[in-house]
Amino acid sequence: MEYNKGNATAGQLAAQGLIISLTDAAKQYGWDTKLAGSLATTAKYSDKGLMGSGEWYGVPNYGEFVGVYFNKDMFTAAGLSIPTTLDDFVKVMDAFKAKGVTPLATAGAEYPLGQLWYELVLSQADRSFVDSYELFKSDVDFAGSVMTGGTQMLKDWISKGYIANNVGALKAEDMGVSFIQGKAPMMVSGSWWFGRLVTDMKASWGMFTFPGNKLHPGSSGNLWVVPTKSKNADLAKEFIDITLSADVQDVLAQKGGLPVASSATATDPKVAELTKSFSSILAQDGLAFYPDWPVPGYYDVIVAQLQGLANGNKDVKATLDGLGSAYAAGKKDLLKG
Amino acid sequence: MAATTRHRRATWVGYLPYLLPGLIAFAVVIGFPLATNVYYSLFRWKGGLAKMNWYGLGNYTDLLSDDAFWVSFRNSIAMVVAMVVVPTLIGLVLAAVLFDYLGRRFGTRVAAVLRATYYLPQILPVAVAGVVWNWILNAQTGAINVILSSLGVVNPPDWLGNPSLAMPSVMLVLIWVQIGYPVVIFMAALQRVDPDLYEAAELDGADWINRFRAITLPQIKPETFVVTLTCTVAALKVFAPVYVLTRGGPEGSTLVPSYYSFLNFFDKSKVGYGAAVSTVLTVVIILVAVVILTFQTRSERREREGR
Repeated sequence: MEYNKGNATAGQLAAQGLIISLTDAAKQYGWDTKLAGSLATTAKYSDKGLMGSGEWYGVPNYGEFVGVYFNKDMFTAAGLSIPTTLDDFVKVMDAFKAKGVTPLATAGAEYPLGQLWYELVLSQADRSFVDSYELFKSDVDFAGSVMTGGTQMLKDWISKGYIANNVGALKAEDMGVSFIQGKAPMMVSGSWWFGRLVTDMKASWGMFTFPGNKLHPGSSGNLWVVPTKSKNADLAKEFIDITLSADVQDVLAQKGGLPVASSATATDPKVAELTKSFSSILAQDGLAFYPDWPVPGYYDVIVAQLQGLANGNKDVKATLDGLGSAYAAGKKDLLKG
Repeated sequence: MAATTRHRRATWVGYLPYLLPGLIAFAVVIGFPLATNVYYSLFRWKGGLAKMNWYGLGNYTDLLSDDAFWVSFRNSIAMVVAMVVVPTLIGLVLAAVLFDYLGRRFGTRVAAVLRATYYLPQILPVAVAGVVWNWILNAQTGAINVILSSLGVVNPPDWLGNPSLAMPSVMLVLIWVQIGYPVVIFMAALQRVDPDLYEAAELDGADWINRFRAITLPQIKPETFVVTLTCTVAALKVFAPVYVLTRGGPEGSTLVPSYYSFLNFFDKSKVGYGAAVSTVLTVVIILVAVVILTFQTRSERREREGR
């Protein structure tokens, strides 16, 4: 069975005893060597359902990451090139802003604004921050420089008009449509939009990783898990191994599915570009997971807090207080078990 | 005397088998889930096969200090306004106008067509209506704001994204959804009213307003009670419109009890806590229903006594 990865999802099932441990199978089939670093983080869960350590409960066979999709036609018309540093990125946005175009499409009622926020927080962060925030290795200071820096930047981007201030009620679909129709030259979102853009977008487009960031929102894809009540657990394990075989992985590489264990290069240049971005992130172990993962129900908290930041009802401090108190309460609940 | 009692008991017993299916259905569909829900609400539990930790009334005392819980019930009042008060008032007037004025001047056909149009939103699945209203209210590309900006409005309102506007917007959609129901019930009720009453009043020189007050309102009182009761219950447990329009946002401003319960059950996996929220909701609904039913019986009794 396929299931969502993370503390709040697969971790939850593991803690509830609904799925079985795959540690032995991982050793037997060699999954533990195929999937390393931040890919394996999402596969292992402790008895409290916290990811990163403990038994193997799920096995991913593809990955995903968040980057910047851009409209090449609009870039060419404006005489702009792909930014490689955060400063360049801001210059590109200023250039669009000067022409009266809102540079970034996003959506505040669903995940996009939260991922953009996390992207900006990560621009200030290192791996140890991710370990604290996502894996509870140490306490996160919500009033510290990483959180304040990232959140302040989002606030500035909103007040400078890089992001519209009326995105609060928009859904991810609204963001995608606005980008596809060429109303906004860029959107910061995940590789899951790739296929949709290939079929729907008329203008020529491309994708680059968030400029300047070493860490990126992203992770292994959803997990194969085996339910406790499964009648054919062994067969399930064999099937999981097939999805990690070279054949299957190479097919994924050709189709833009972001394989976790393939060295094949796609014939389609756009797919090759996407896979290359992903491999470069994997090479520096740059997957930083998603902002809503740490505690159950955090997704709604992030959405609500950032809506307040976007429409100007909350300042940076109030937003971080809101995020921090829910995080602390959720963490306490989780560790209590 | 003894013989008649035995006789009576026998008849009563004879009816029992006919009550059984209903009793069984009640036990399976309502009684058992309700009891299970109350039972769950006494535990801290993540659901599934996880361990259930006895928490006593802890979930309920936690509720007392939970702001989101209180906000959700405060929002219920707004829901009652949007789903009961406004639609019933407008429905009364609309039904009377349709039946009494339009029906008579332009024929019952016209009135029937209009009645059907008012009822249309009720037939539409909530999910579809929600998607349509999302299009209309979208801050950047929605119909309303596109029209407003073409009229020269620089910063058109963010209907669902502004915490102070989101609730009124949701209420407006609910009024639109709800209005057909009282109109249809009240129009049916009006057909029951003896036309002689109106004729006599008209001969006595009563105008439309007076006839509406003196004849229409008292005559369709029973239906008004039914509409109030069913709509109030629906308003207290409203879920789908909030789910499709705002997901309780922005910033929790449109949270309602059933959505809050759902959030706890599924998003946060706090099954016991979610169960406590729905138990409280059930109790509130039963209390409100009892109050309305008491009013209804009292009013009926007064009528029978000719007061």
